[in-house]
Amino acid sequence: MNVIACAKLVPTGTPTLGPDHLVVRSGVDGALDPGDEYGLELALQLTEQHGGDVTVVSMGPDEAGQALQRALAMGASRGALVSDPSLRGADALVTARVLAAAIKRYPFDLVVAGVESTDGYTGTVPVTVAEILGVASVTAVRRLEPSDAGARIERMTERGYDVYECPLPAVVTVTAGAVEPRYPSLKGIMQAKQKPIDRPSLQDLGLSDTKATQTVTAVKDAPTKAGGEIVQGDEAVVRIADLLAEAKVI
Amino acid sequence: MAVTLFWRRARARLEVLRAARPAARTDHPGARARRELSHVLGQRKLFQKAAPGVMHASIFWGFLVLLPTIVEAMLAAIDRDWTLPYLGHVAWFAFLQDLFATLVVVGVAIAFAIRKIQRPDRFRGSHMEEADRILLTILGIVTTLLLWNASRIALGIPVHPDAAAVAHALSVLFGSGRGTDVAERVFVWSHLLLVLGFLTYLPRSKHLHIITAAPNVYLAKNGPRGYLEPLRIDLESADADVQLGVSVATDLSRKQVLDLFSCTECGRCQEVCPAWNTGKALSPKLLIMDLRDQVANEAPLITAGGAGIVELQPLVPNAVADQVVWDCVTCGACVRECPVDIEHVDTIIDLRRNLVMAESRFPREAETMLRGVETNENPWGQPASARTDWTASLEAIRVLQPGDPPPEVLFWVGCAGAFDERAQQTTKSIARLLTAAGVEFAILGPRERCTGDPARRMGHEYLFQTLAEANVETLNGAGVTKIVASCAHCFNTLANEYPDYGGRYEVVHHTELLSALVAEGRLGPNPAGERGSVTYHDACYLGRHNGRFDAPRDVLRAAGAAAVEMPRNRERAFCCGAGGARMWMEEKEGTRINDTRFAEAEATGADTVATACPYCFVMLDDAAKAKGSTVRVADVATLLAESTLAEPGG
Ligand code: SF4
Ligand code: SF4
Repeated sequence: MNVIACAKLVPTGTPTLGPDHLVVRSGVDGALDPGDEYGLELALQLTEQHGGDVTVVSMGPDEAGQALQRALAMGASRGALVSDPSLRGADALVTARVLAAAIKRYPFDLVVAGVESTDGYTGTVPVTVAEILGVASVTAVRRLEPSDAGARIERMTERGYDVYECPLPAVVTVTAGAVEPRYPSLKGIMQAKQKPIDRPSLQDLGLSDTKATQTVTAVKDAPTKAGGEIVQGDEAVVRIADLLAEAKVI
Repeated sequence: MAVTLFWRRARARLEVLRAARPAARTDHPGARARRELSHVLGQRKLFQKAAPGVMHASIFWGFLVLLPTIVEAMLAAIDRDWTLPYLGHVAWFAFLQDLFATLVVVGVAIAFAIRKIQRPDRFRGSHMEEADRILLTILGIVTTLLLWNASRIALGIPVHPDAAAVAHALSVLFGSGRGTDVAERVFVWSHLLLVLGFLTYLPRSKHLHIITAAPNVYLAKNGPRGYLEPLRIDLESADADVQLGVSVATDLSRKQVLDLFSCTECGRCQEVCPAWNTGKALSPKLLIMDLRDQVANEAPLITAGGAGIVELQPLVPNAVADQVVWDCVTCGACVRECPVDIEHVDTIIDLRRNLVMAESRFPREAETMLRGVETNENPWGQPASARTDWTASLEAIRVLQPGDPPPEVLFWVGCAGAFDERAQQTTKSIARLLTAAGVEFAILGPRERCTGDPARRMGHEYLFQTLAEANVETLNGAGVTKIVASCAHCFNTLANEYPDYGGRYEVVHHTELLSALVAEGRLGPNPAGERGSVTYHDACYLGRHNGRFDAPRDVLRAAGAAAVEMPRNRERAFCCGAGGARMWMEEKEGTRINDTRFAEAEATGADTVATACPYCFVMLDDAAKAKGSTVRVADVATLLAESTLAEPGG
């Protein structure tokens, strides 16, 4: 089973927005998104048990190479990084088109990703990738095993989990806690340096128009709540009744 | 023949040593020679226990004095009238021989009394029968010597009967006839045979220490025991085969192998080990014995080289279980007790280095710490900006900005001091005391990183190295010359380990600086009068590892505290359980180390347990809370601040 894992570089601290309303990425320490480590770990476990190998795919600035190095150190066999200045500010749709195009370059039975990134939190990229690739997708996966039909998948719900039989190839997003991401050994980190990282250009991917379809034009802070009133003592009941009447609740 | 046999067996051991990694342990020959005199000739560490000390010293000194006797017996075995030139003729040597042979008998008697009557627990797991065999042989060697001398006196051979009182007394057993002639021959030969038999037995027994102990003591670490030797890792140029710590027997250094062949199985280390004493799998003695057994078993493979080396089994988990390696709090109590200067901690760390860096095999709960240190440069995983949160309630604390002139003293707050709510109390007390004393100080604030100690003690040498290099760059860039650290671990790392990475500063612990300020009259004296009785808990990395015992006690005195000591104090203090990155691991087996130590503190009847390290503080405070005790746990600095500063704590 060959698996593609999506990886993203996210700032290690709290992400901040620049004047262009985009997450500030230059000069900020970054690391592989912890959310992506679950997908990657699942991918590694599947290939360790059933053969095949894991390719990590990322889109981002050059520094995203760090995220790939981490994934390679954990045990992925090769990486692919799409990095192009024109992609700065790419929205979820453009990101999905780029990732899908990059993924198509490799044979795969399964694509794994985190449920959502821990900086942007849109959670829409993986399913869009599935749509573009024309394959099934299952979100919030807590378990996955190969089966006759393709894969037997447990999907988290609010009350428990649903069980799916899903044809492969497919795209799945893996919930936090589904598996325990491994801590790479230094040996792994050293070996990662020898592993190949492809850097396809947008032309290689056959993409010409990568202008974002959506841009953030303004950011407004949520209004801060005004200080409440603490009512105490014997008149409390009366005061509350008055307040509710004032607010036309009663 | 005996000599050939001895040599063949000893050479097998020597070749294992030769195959080991060289250890650079020959600097400061003066200090090493002095240690040799005190630890070996003077038997200093043996006298850390009274009766066993007397026992061993009698036998050891006897052994030294009686060495020429072996040659004397050899000569006399050939011809009754041959003897040593000079020594064989003087009365004083006859006197010494007689005296020390008798002392050895006394020593052996004490040894049997200890082993058979007292039966201390430290011998659990040692080879008792082997020890008995050795003791009986020694007894045989000296009694045959005494009886030989006695028979010679009876025969009228000139051996200074007046000088050799014991032999003289024994000579009444013998007549002067033919029987005694035969007896004299029998004794001299049996004496010699026992000596030679003993010689061939040596290399394969724990008694090999009579040969290995002296060089092992010579090669022991100089300077503070808290120092670990660096393992340089260059990710850029290193190939994937670089040796990361110790996996198989041949990865051990020569000192580490010599350690294994020097162990006498005396169990002094086991007796003081906090892990063993609280029911964990680790005993430093059994660790050394188990490693030794595997190395000895694999000796043929090791010396065969080539293909043999490939077949060597990893020491963990074959010789020692994983858990044993993780049980250690690196308190150094074992090293301190060991009479032959075995360095258990260094070997344990080397085993950890391999498990973490090559295998990524370690207690999972410690991963949070490693990840925190890796991504946020502190074990708590907090953002760097939060490092100054504790300053909010205080008057302006100077945060050293890039380009600022260096302060007189840099206050190294440490991660615990910055992020742990309870440890912040100590941090604030120190800052207020320094301000009150008019010390010109600053903190690095967000530019401070973890010193790397938890990562290093955990075995992640590479992570430690990156932090050490980054911190040294910041400190050197800021022109820092003097540092005060409040954490015993930071103190040890900054003072002893950063010089290896180009960071040389005058590093003091806060208790040292405070006691100096008190002595100069810049702090105190305490206006509030008595503050009740306080017992001070020595932090391993301040006390045993770095010899700082008095400063914290001086500060307590200045704070008006009546000091009471716990039974295990100063050099022999019992760990709080947090060292060696144990702070970040669960303690599942046996009882808890911090509970054990807190109970000891509470039993002194003191109202307060004073600590000088945030780790100790948190561990003992946890134990106090768990027990619902009314005894208070507080840092020495907080106690001083309370009694000398007017306004209440911030
Ligand atoms: S350092 Fe302390 S815990 Fe570790 S083996 Fe020695 S005595 Fe035991
Ligand atoms: S390691 Fe040292 S203290 Fe421990 S049993 Fe061996 S000789 Fe004794």
